[in-house]
Amino acid sequence: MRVFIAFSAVDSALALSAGVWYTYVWCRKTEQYSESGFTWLVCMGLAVSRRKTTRMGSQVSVFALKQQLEQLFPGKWFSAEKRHKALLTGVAEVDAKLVNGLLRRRITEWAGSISSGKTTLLRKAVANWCSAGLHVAYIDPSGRLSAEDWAFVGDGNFASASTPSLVASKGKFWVVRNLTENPELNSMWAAEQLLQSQVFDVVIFDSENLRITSRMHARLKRALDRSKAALIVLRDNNRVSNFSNSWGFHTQLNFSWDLPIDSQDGLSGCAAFMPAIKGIVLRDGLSQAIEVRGKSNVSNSLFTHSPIPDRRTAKV
Amino acid sequence: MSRIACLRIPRFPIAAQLKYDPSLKNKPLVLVTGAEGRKTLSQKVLACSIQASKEFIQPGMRLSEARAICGDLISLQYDTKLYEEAQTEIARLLINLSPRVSALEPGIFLLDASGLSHLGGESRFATNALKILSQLSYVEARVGIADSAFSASLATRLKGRRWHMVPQGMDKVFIAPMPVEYLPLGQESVDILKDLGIKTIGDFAGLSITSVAERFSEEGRKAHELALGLDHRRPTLPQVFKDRQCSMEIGAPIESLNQTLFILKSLIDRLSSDLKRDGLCAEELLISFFNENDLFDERPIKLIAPTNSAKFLVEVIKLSLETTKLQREFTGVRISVQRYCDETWQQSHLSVSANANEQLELNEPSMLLLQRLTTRLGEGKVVQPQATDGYAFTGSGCWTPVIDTKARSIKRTVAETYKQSVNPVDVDYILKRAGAAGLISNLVLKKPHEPVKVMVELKDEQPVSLAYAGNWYRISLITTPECLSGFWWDKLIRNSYYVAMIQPSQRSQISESLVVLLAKEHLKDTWQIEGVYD
Repeated sequence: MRVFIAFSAVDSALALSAGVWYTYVWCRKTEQYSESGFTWLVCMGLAVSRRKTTRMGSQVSVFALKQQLEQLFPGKWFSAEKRHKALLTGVAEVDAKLVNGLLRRRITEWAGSISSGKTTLLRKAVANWCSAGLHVAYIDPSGRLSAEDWAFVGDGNFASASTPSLVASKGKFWVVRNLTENPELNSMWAAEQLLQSQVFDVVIFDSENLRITSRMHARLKRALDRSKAALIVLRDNNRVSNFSNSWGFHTQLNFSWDLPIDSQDGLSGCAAFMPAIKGIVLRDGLSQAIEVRGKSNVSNSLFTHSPIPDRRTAKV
Repeated sequence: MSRIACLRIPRFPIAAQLKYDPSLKNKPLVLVTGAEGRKTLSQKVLACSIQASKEFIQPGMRLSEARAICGDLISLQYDTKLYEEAQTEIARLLINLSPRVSALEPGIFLLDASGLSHLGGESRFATNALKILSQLSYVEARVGIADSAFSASLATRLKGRRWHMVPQGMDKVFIAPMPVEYLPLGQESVDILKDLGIKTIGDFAGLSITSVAERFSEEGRKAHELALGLDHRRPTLPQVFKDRQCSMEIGAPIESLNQTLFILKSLIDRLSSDLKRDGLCAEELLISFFNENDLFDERPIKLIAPTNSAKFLVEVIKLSLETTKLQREFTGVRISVQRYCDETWQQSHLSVSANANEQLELNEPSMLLLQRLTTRLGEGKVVQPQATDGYAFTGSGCWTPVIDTKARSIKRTVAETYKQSVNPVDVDYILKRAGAAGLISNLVLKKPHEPVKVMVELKDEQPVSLAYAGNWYRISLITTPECLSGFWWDKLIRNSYYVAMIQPSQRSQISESLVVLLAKEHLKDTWQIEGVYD
């Protein structure tokens, strides 16, 4: 009995100290020093510790406390590694509205008109995920993507200096493309396989004008249930498609150009566009507007020049 | 003293190819290097038929040169596997003549010819060997018998003689008047010897070993030993040739997938355990379905990585059966391993075809996923983007297969490796100017299958509006053109590229503005939209 009391006391002390420590960390991070908030958090830590100490060890108490704090203040309690592993897009304006980033095992619709900047933003997100060591697959049934636009995504070149390098290996970026035979059926099948394989963290399904029926949605959901990945359905909101507004996605991001588009003048006229992209994030019934400003565009064609092939060697 | 017989089939790859496809007989035929299904004029000739030789075509020529000489030339890819199979078939039959048979080179066999006095002598041995080869359609074969393998092989080179026996102890005398070209020396060394006045093997044998070793190093030393009649090569006991296949006859016809898989699984288990026992991995399978001795379905399955895992093989076969269903019920099935390789006891790393520096680690789920995608969608559908040197809009990147099974098979068949032409890109300028993020700062272009021709309205030689997809669009913003020309060596281009923002006319029901890549093709004087920025 004495031993049990001693353990309980130690557990309580540990839980209390954990609660105080997390409160301190939160205050440091958010730079909000509210006395009432502090007291409340400490009390909660105590309550959790009292409830749990008789059943499990202190570790469980701390975990439960952490979970409750996470629910109350989402995104504030990630450790550095966990934050890096979360599916944050890397686009500050989008991440500010998408608390905790994109959710795994959920469908996110990434929509916009045919030309709206949605894929440009998505590429930024993919580059960010790959640099964080996450694996991304893209299904491009019609083969519309150009390799030169995506060449620097998979090998993690994007990793910015400000992002801490917590991962040793870079994520891989695979593209399933040119599904000429039965593209609708095969792209759907490929999406299921990629999701169920447990290899990828994010699967992007470029649905183009494909209408996602309830049956297809059910198949995707079933595949997601057996997966760890987040599914992003890239959709063109053009005049042909007649989607219903909600077809079962968890989060929707809708993009368009923010007119008028700024341009960068050269010596003899407009040299490049610097487009801004505006969008709306729809999640949990709430919609929030975002705007992402474009940066100066440096074309790949500024690299070098194509050499004349050497005819003495075998041509591929 | 031991006696060695050498059996040579001249132009063996050509002979094997003609046996495989008799319709090619008496036609100028060359076997060339190169990728499967791709023929280019820069391929090299590896072997040529007698008819092609009469047209002055020689091994080492480029196919374009050979074609220039002979317009009717037939070119086929050098198929190592076919020649290996033919060689194995010959060796199997030659065991009836001698217990020791080994293949020296393609089309050259060494046989133990000792102790033939009680078996009809060496002449009978030679005629029997030629009879066996004639039955296999190799009518040009020759036999030489001598004390050493080198002398025996030279005996097969004598013109106008189907067989020749070098008397015992006379090897040195026999090979002495032969030209030095028959020695295993490089062309440069042979030229040096000829310049020095050494034209026969006997002359070369007269040189001191130390001076030869000093001048021609190891290669010269070995050749000198052969010139002295010292050859340690002996025919060995043949390898056990084993068919890697399993088959099953079923009493009643079977149609359902589950029952089929059940049967195939038992066969695969047996095959897998055989492979594991021998330390081998399958690279390619062939499944044949029979209905009362009638072969109605035969499907080769190429594996993305060599394996002997029964679970993996069953998964792959299942996927193949799901993708392409059997047309009818079957009563018998056979699974054979078409290609196999030695098992490697190291972590499976498959190099990505394009970039040798990067290696892709394929764990089991990744490998299974790739195999599934490849089996169902076809090869080259799962790709990775890669930057490559080039200033054209389509030339600065290329898609490379995650696993290039074709490249692997080519590597096996031809010693030369063929890599996709990816030129390294210098990104220092971008990194200095815009940082790493600058590499992906441009807008993403989405291209249609074919560029869409558009009608453009000009004002002061500047495009102001265009008709696209049945609607008129006003050009609200357009960049100065980027003029690119070149590629005369491939397909000449002379284009001006504009990035334009187009807005639909007020009468149109469409409201979205588009940012497009507009190009003027100066050679044809046409305008086209090559892609939409998204």
